[in-house]
Amino acid sequence: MTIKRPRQHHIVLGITAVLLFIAAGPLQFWGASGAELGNRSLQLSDARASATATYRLSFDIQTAASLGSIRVQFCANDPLIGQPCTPPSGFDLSGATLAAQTGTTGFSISGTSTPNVLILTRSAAVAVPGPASYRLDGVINPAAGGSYYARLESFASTDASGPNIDYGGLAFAITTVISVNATVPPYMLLCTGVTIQPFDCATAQGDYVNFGEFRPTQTSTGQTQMLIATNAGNGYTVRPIGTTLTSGNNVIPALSANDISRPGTSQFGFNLRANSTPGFGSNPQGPGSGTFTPNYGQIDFYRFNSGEIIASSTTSDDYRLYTVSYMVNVGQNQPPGVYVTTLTFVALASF
Amino acid sequence: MKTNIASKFSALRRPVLTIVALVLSMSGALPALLGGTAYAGQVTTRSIQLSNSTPSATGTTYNVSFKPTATGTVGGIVVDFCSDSPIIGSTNCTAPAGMTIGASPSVTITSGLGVGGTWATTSSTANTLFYTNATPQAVTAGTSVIFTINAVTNTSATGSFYARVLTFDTAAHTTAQYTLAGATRASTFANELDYGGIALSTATAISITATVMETLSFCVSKVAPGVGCTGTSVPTLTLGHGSPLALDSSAVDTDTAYTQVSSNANSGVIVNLKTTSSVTCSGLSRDGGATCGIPGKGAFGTITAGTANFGLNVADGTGGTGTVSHNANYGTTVGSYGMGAAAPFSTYGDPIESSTGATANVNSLLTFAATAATTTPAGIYSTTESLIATGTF
Repeated sequence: MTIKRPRQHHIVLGITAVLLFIAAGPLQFWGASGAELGNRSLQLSDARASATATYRLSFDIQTAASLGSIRVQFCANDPLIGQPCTPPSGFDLSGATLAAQTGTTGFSISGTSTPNVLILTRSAAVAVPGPASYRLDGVINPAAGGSYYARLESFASTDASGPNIDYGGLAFAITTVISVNATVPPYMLLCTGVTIQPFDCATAQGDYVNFGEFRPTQTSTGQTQMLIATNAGNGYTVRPIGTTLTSGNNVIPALSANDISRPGTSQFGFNLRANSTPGFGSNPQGPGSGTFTPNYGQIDFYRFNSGEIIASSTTSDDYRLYTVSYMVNVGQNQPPGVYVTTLTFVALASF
Repeated sequence: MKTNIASKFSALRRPVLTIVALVLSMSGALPALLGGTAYAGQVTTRSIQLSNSTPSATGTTYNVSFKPTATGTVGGIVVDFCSDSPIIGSTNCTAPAGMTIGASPSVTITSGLGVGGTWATTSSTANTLFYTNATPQAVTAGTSVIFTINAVTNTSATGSFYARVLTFDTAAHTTAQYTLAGATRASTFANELDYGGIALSTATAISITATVMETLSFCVSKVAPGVGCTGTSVPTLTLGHGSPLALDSSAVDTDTAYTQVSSNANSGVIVNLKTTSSVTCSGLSRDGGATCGIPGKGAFGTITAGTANFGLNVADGTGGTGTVSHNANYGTTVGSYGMGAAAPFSTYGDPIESSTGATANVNSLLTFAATAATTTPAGIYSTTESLIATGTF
């Protein structure tokens, strides 16, 4: 009897061991004792194929058990733990860094991680049930668009060995980007007239300024307008092309340097300002930012040099209405005649 | 010949009479052997249906049904559960292991048995139900008596077990005649009306496990995707009018694309838009985001021709199964747009639409719009928008 009893005991233990082994088989699919991780998500900073992205892995830890590692398998085939995992083509987290972590923390990336299997490790400590998140920078996305999967497991061990504690799967998608294109064609708007209603070239009227009869004692004035706008990125310049007033061989000299109106002295010039002596003209108007150049922006000072820049903008500019204020004086010795000139204003846009 | 015949009959007379006497004797004794009174009969169409046949299952309902043999009144019903046999009159009834009908069994009459007086389960044990009524209630021959024994805990053994069903004329006779002494039973029962045995069985429950894996299908397309993100095309959009297409200050130009979301994420899917071509410009740029010639619209609202803006309108999802709704910054008034009110170039972008539960093949129309100002520098403007779907499972 003293011999048989131990034998019976061994037999019972043996049977028990066999039963436990058989029973443990199905449990290996999802793990031995844990629960499904809640609110599992994987947020990507960039969903383009092959892009280097930031991955934010979030889930709710369920079990307040000692936790030493978290394993994340990235697979192309399915999120089912325990099943063969096909690594996503092109996916690579070997250069990833753990940039931030919340909830249950203290992890670093284990050296045993592979391009598609991330193992976060730490000294085992009791996990904090509730939300946890881990931000990985420098993850290279799969090379093709489509659906991909991640399998999440937590372990008591520090190397993702042994039975898991909590577990779960998730899916994420790699997609093409939306490309939006638009072409803004270049334009340069310039119109001239005696009058232009703000700010519509269609309202431009007149192309002839009649100074009337010149007298040595009286300054003659006249004005025209020009409306300018452009989307030239580097702005525009405006230049007058032409001559001073002439009548045959007789000339009213142009003011090659800025000067005031001097009745009794033959002179021709203009500026782009509202003048006071004599009182005429207008300052530039409109939403644009273009303006006169200094030589043509001095009140009561006039000038004319063909081809000289009289107004400009350094950027694209909205409507700008300039008033060209012409001033003419004649001396006592100015030969009689009909003095005329034709001025052409040329705008040059720089795109 | 007569003599001979008579002689032979005479010779056979004694054994024949003996046999006849034995037969008559057996006939008289048979009812007693069957354990019933002279007028008792075996109930027909008897059964006990279990609501759960899993061993040790608790809260199980036993639906007892039988047809009385005669019309009359019944004062008591015995249902005795045994693991060994259903034979009425067997003097042994071993209680099924682990089975109990409860300390105070609950019985509910369904039909075929009068409900007058007061039916009680007094004197019942774990495996023997005594259901009695001091006022005998009517039963009808051939009409099923149906009642349920509630909250039964099944036997822990897998396989067959039995029930013996008997009816008595009065409540007093029920408890007096059907005596219990542990597993011992009487072999005969006076005042018994009907009887019958029933076999029952427990069986191992079939465990069925199915795993539904997490899924997320998300695609972006110039044309509306078909089911399962089929038939998609590259979402390259061009904003403008005229030929060739050009954007200017005279109009708000639009172009469209689609998303399709399918996921079993139980907390839904959020789709974010992230501008990948710039870290500062949520609109259109002609120099890779260094400048932002056509800025993002900002808060959802109207884009006016001539005021340079770029925006997006997200319509609520259509088709498929489930609901995908726009984010307030991007929809859904037709002709209004938003862009960059939050931060489309932040790490994870700006939410534009979302679902709260599972969806399948829901398409959403995205309408991008832009207009130029008169001062918008000429050039080719572009942006790339990465749409990122995140499911929460």
